[in-house]
Amino acid sequence: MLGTRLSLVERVRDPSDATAWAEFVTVYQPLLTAYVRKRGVNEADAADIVQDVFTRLVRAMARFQLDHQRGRFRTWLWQVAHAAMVDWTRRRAVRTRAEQEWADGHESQASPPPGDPWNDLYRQRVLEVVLKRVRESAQPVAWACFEGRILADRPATRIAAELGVSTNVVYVNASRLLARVREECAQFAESLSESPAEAARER
Amino acid sequence: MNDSCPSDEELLAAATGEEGTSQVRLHAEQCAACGERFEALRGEIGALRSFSRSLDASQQTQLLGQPTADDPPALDRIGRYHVVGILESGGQADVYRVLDPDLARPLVLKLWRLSPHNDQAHREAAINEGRLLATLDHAGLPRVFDVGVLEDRPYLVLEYVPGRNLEQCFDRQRPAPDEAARIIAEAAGVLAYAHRRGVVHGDVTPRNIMIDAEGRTRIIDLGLARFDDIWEADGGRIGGTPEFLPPELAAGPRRPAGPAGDVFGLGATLYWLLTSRGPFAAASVSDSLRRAREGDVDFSPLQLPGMPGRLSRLCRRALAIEPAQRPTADELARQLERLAKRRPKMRRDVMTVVILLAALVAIETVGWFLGRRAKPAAESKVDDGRAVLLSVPAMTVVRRNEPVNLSNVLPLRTGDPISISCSVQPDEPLVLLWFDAQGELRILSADRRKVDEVDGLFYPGWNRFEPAAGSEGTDLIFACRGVAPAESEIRGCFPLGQPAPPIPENLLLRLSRRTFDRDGPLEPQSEAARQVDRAEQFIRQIDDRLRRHFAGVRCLAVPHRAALEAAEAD
Repeated sequence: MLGTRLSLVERVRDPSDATAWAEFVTVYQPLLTAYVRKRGVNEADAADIVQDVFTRLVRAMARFQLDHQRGRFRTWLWQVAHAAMVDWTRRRAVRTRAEQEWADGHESQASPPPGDPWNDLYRQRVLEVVLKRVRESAQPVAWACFEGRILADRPATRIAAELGVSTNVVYVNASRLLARVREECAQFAESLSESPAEAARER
Repeated sequence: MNDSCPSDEELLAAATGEEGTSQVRLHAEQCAACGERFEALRGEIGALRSFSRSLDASQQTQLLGQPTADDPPALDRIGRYHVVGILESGGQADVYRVLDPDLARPLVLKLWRLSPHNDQAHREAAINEGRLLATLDHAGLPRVFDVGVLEDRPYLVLEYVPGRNLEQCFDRQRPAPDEAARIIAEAAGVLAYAHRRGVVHGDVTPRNIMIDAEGRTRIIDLGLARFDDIWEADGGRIGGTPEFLPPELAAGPRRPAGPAGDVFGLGATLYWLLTSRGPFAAASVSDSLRRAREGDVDFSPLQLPGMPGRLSRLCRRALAIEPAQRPTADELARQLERLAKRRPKMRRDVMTVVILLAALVAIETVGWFLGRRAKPAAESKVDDGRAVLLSVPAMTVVRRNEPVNLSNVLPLRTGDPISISCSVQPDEPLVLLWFDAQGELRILSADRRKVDEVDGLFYPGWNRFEPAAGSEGTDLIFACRGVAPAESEIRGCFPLGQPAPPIPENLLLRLSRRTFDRDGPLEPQSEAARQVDRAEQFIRQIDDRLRRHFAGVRCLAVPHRAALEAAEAD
């Protein structure tokens, strides 16, 4: 599942890998901001929390043991973000007993509770970054094939006609770019599909 | 897999549902390896399509056309620092939130814009200034971690101070005079340290004084005004904030700011804390500058009842037009500290002393002895065996479109937009009650939020006002600390339908730890004094009953009068 490259998550464990950190921040800053904002935190406080998460990550990344289980980094990152939010909630005056209980009860959770937007936001951000990268590195015609057939679900014959190629070329291109997307996903320790079969196999 | 197995693209075509691929699908049903590939492809396509559908039209264009605008700051790296956000973007410099992979601390990086004098000499001067700042080490100052030049632009890397500046802390509610004294005393102490090390702030205003997450007073942007000057170095610029500008700096082409300028800034900030206005507040910047040049400060707002005379005299000295007549930062710190410390000590014997002196001393003096002493955190004492902070509720009213503390504009008038606030130790349950001039009780549902390491409760909400209803008489606002009992229990503590006795219209009563503060002039042995006695007795009975249910009780008694005629009100 992993390509020959080290994944971003592995590279970023080395604090001296500046490129990896830059990439890491670029990918995860919008995700963390969106998540914290979705939890009802205002813009200025969200920026404080996100900065706090990155500061924690500088220390914590070295401790993170990557195995290749899908979604493990995703959950781990959530734990770090969650801990930052719990701390923030405590620092800000817990408003009611209910919130106090929330903070107490959620302090040491292993994974996002059901209904939490984290997993969706995370996968969305990863796909966004991955697709952007693949689009930028692909030939325009190849991208048009992939985009039209796979993302937009348009008929292969129409795409082929528009681009002046055979339907076979449409599928060859789509297949190649799909493989690239798969590889890029592995950079984030994510697998592209979340098919029930695969999920069942992992359990 | 064997030779008869379909290629990747054939299998993909089948997985997308392409027509004429039934043979491939048939094969996938029989061949285990291809069946698995087929299912995986369908899963991937499903994931991509649902992602694609989840983007709205505008995002689609971004994704498929232009590079995404979603990607954070234009700069993702500055030297070895990673940008995680932009804090502010100013005329001369940009301030970024950054991350240093080797240093697990939140940092900010201030990167100056290119200067018109882009030469080696200017850069070196700027760097030397930065190095001087980096030698400072004081808990009240954010540390400077790095200074350097990047693509011809100087930068500083500083500790990030999460917290709120004074403008944010006190935009709606003035601090009590002794709390204001404490804050400015701490700030003056920090600046005294900087002055001893030869560093001048150059732009001391409520925005540059912060209360951090631990409640400490900290000064930001120290020395940066000078840094700006060196970097810009165009001589004719008048820097600083006009409303708070020392006269000597407003006078003309900029002279280097001296320590006395910072003391003026402290005095101006103290003036702002006490009165809600900068000393040179005016409708336009040029008016502010004119007033600053003339040193035209209106000291009459400092003559309010409840304002300690020493504090207002000290404020006046710090705001002297002549720099030489101002105290040093060190002296200001010491004097203010003494003032801030003296008051809680006084409270124990204040009643006896005041009663003895009251007959002899002018009424204003009594006024400031008794002046708003109820609020600050520093004074908290043991209530129910624990050290707890609980303030007397405060009422803010809007008069002439400006929120002011009710104690400055007594009495309360029906229809006045009002806001009630109260602070309590974090996490402590608190109930706010309003027993109005008709003898009706309301349990107020207030907004709770953190202000400077305490919890503030705000009714009708943070930054919100509601018109004062009801009739003439006395309104009682209670703050009760502890878990609320049943509503009927609370109601049982009040003589419903029987309102509190009247109190004079220029006087507020505060009850704290069973002791009353009378905030306002009151002639001993007068009819007014007897009125107040009766009101106190009435409140004390309620207080006694509430204390059976709550760990701590505070009360504010407010004289309430009918609305003025519109013409009279303006």
